Amino acid sequence: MRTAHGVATLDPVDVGNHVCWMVGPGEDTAGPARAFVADGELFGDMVLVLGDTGGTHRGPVSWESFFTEVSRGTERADREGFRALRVLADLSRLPAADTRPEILARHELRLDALAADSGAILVCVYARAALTPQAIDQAAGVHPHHLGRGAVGPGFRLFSSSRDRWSVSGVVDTEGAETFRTALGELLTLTPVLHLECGDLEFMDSAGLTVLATAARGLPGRRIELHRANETLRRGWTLLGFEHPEIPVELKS
Amino acid sequence: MSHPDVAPAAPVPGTGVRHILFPYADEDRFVHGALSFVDSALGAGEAVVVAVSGPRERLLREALTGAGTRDGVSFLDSGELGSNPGRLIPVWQAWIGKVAQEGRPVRAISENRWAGRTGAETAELRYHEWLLNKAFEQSPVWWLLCPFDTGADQEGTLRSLERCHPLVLGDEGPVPGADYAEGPYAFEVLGDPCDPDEELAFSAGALASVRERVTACAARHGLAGDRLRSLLLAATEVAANSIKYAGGGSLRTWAEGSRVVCEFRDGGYIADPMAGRIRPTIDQVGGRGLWLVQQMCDLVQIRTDPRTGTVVRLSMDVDAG
Repeated sequence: MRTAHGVATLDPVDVGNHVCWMVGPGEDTAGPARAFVADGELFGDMVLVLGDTGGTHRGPVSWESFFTEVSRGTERADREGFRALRVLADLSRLPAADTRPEILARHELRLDALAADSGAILVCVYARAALTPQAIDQAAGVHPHHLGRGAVGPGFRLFSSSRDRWSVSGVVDTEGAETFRTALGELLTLTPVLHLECGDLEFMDSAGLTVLATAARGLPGRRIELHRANETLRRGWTLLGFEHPEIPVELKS
Repeated sequence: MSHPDVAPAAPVPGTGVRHILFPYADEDRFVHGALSFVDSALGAGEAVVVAVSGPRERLLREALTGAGTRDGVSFLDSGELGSNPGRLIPVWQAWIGKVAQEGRPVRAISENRWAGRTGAETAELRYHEWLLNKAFEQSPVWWLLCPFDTGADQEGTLRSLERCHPLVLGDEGPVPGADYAEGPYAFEVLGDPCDPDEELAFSAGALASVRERVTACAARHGLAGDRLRSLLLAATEVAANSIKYAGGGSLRTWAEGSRVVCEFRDGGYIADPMAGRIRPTIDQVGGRGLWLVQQMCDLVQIRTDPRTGTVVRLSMDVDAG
């Protein structure tokens, strides 16, 4: 089972990890990137670097091209006997339209499912200065892992836990509710029944719970099943009256 | 002693709660007053609900059985009402609403547990008694008889309860209480903190820091698991309100007896005294945060003033749960 956590360096990054690296102004990226690539050779990974190499930028020009390269790479890595595909992708030059929160959520969640399924290692490098505060939170919220010390992005992480299952961990509070709404909305377009693992979710506050209820009601024919919700989450849900026939959310044991 | 509804002094406007303080000195007087109240209600075809503590409940059940009227009375488990007085009004609202749907007027007997409470709890319970009058101003008429054992009176509780009840049950039935204070309510001053942690100032983006501070204090005093999560949820709601309505605030935490206490201060003002005491509907916009706060914590103390701002204290018992 994948779990969300932060890493202080790229050294411990492992198979199936999907890391958000939000680079600040003046931050050294070359050193950690070289070490990351060197680790790939050490562990027998197929390395794919999409970004500045020797002064020439060849980062993904679109989300589709990025996904295609990763998808093909995982197949090739598997075919050629590598342990995994190891990707370092500089996404700082994506067009502004492609870094809107809902676009970021859509494509990063799709990439996360690919990493979870294939075991690919993905490190997504963003330039903090190129993103809006909302986009920064969105990018961090839909990666199970982030590089850096201290709190990064919203209090929750939403990511693929296994095939057709998603996990939400941490805390969904007022400050992260909009980010959660966007991510949830994207997932609900993909499947009629969204299975959300909540074993590592501490709680949702009233804003988070309201987003969950509203999102479930918002798309006809959709349903959300929460698995392993703790007592605090269950109480909050019940106390707000959301155990209601009009709200297609079910709290499983 | 005559029954409340035949007393000439009882006011009879079209809405609201007839909130009657019933001081009694011994069990005989308690039983006599309660039976008289029940008999009159049943005679008028009204619904009767009783929420009193264990010994009083047994006494009343026996007396009702002896009088042959036991079947017409519903008993609420007073334990399920919880210790936080901030949760009591919605319990009554739910019950009154349910019975009102059946088209029957309601009479209730409710004796609060005063013994064994902290000073802070007692103060909040007194405020709850006063707030009941406001909470049901627009409701269909119902009667609430509040027995109070004068033998157990401590620290002037009876006197302060007289300020909270518009009616007092005397020998000749209910009469307007001479000391009833319509408002504004005179809150007790909050007690001093016990060796609080260093104050944390917070603003937008700092909810995680608020939770870190609360978690650290809770860990030192043994509060963990779902009760800690419930306190963190409540703290998150209160801090978010401070940020939204006052741009931020400050937090102090400490332990007092077996309780972990979190105190939030900000420059905002909560105009609605019923905030957090009315169950939200699924479609309403906002207004859910303070409701969860009241439901999640063992005690919530709110002091708010348009000139000086708002103080919210959340308490969670380490030993309960």
